[in-house]
Amino acid sequence: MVKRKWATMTMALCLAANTVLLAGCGGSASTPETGGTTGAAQNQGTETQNQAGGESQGAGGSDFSGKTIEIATYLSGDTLNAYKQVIAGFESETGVKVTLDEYGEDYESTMKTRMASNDLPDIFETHGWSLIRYKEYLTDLSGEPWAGKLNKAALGVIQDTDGKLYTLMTTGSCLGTAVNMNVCEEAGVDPWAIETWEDFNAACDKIKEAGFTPIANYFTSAGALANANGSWLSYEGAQFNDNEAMLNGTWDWADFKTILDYLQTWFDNGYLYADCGTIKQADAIERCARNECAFIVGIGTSYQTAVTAQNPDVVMAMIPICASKEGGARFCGIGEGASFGIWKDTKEMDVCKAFLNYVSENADGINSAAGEISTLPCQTSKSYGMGLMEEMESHYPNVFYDNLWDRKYMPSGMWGVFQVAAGMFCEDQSEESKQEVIDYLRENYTDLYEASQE
Amino acid sequence: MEKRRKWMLLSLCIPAFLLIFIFMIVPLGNAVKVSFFKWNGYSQKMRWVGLENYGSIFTDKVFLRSTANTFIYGFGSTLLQNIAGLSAALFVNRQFKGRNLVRLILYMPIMISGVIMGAIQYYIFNYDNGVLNNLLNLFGIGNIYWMESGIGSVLIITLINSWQAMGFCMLIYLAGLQNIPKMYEEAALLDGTSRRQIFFKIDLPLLMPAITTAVITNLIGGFKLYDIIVTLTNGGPNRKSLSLSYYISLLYFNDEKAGYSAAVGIALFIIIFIVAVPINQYLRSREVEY
Repeated sequence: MVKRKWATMTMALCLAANTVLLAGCGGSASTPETGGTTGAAQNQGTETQNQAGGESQGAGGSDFSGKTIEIATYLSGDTLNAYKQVIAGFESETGVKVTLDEYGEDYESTMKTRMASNDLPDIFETHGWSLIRYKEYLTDLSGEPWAGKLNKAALGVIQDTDGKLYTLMTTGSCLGTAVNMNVCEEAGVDPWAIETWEDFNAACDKIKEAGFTPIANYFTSAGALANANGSWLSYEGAQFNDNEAMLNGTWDWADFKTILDYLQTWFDNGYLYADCGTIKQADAIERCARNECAFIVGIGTSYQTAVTAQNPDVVMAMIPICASKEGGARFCGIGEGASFGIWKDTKEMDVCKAFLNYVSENADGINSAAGEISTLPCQTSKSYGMGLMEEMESHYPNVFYDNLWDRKYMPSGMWGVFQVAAGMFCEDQSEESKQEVIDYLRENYTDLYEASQE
Repeated sequence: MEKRRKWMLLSLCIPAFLLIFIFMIVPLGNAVKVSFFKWNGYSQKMRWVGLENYGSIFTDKVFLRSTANTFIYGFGSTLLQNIAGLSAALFVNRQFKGRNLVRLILYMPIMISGVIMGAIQYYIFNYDNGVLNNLLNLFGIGNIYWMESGIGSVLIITLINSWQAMGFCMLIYLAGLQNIPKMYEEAALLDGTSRRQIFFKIDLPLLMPAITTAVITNLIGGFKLYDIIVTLTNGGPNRKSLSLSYYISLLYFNDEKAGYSAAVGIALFIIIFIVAVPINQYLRSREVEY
């Protein structure tokens, strides 16, 4: 009987232990007392085929035969295929064997786990976080030959205050307001005439009257609450100028209420989908492809690419994010697209640098496939995203470009916090709820800012 | 000779013990350690905060809500799965044409992964263009926003999880029913006992070992529910359909609060231990020998 009792207890203990594995499997930072290295990510690597990659450039004819490097990416689809072509060309020229880890949607969590165990791939994608998340693990690349060729938009995003660069940004995502021109035309709205949020709401009223849903923003993402904030808080002509306080950790978030007050008009006026609190980007794309909705604020050009892929008859455009006051800056955010950095502790530093150099000189295919904007001089092709951007600039010659607002002014981790806040606000837009949202943001901002300073 | 056999049998357990040690005991110890630190989950720097993470649990509304949801997923799913599973087992234990096909159909949902099941159900319960709403539209009923409230989402997740795992319960009960010697039923019938009495006085008591297995497995499965939630509601609306398992994952990877995530993990460990052990003991005490 006693044995049985022990067996039962042991079984229950083992089963219950399963529940904490998730929290424990992330391993520990290599603190001096532990040096823990649990939870190394699974290697989902697929070795690229060793194909001829056309004319070889960029590796300087170096022979690295027998060397192997590991690259981790979250790229997918055409962009990934284009990247594989470049890798194949590099392998063919140098004899290096490249193992490509395609982590897909698990990329961020896998990389966090690998950082925790201080066991990173030789080269990995930095996807917008080269400065505020990955810097601790990256090599300074400011002395590389391609660094001087990056355009200003790219440097504004990836260059640290001390001039260091930690990633090769091959493409950039340009974030503005996506416009379904078919819907606007049917509703009699000229999107190019929109300057301020007031103009934007007037356009939304007309679109709603015509029987369409004006705004397809979804509150399961942080974007609705985070991507347009510069218009109110940071840029020339904005209502407030809180940049310094945001960056030195003293911001009290009181001004954020203005943004919530404005977003409330979207709910009050019925501009949004009834299920905006539970839908995802895929739903917004599908509905836009069915010509049901007009705008989505604060989204990259990959959205328009996805919509037109579903329905080639839809005409999409991009306008900047509105100014909060007349004469204020209308802006677009620039984020890291296909961007790769080198692990500072890699044993193959020369090979990795040669690889990035090779990529920088053979980036056209990647740019073309990504549908984003080019950050290096383009030799042959222009992407769909570049076309949208040029069209926008022909209507708005003075668009103000800046790094994505949260990447510039917020500590790492705030994106997830904004996501929760978006859900809270979507559920209840009362004054009480707004205060709760602000308190939640303030509390987490303070915590994360303190953590970033340690 | 007997001693040598014992050692040999013990040595066969070594791989299992090693696996448990490496993949359960070590991470468990690591989680306990991390729970005393403030850590973003990836930096090489951690700050000791003592019991602060544990203190935060009591004022965290999302934790309390997720705990309530976890109990609904655990007990709700267990109740529904066992009632439906036992009913299905009694049904398919009879002789009728097409019995194997019915068994297969009832068992099939468990063969689909939770992630895929959640994704399929997302398109069924979707507000706009969802299969269920499209069907309702055929009868002139307007779209219903099934996932609008937290409780609605929690109930839908519980129902889906119960339906999916029902086949597993059915299999356990079917095996249990087939192990009951026919002579008891025949003797009871000779004594003029009704079918209903046979079920409650003979079948059910003799099924207690199967009930113990099914209840404990379902309960722990429900407490750890994760995959369906990820693809069906993503924890929403407003994190109101989270289970503790999913909350732990979000805290670690999304919110970058690894220390607090570990503390919540330990809390879940304790909750499951406190709930599962007494239930297991109670059910085992009701088992009868025959």
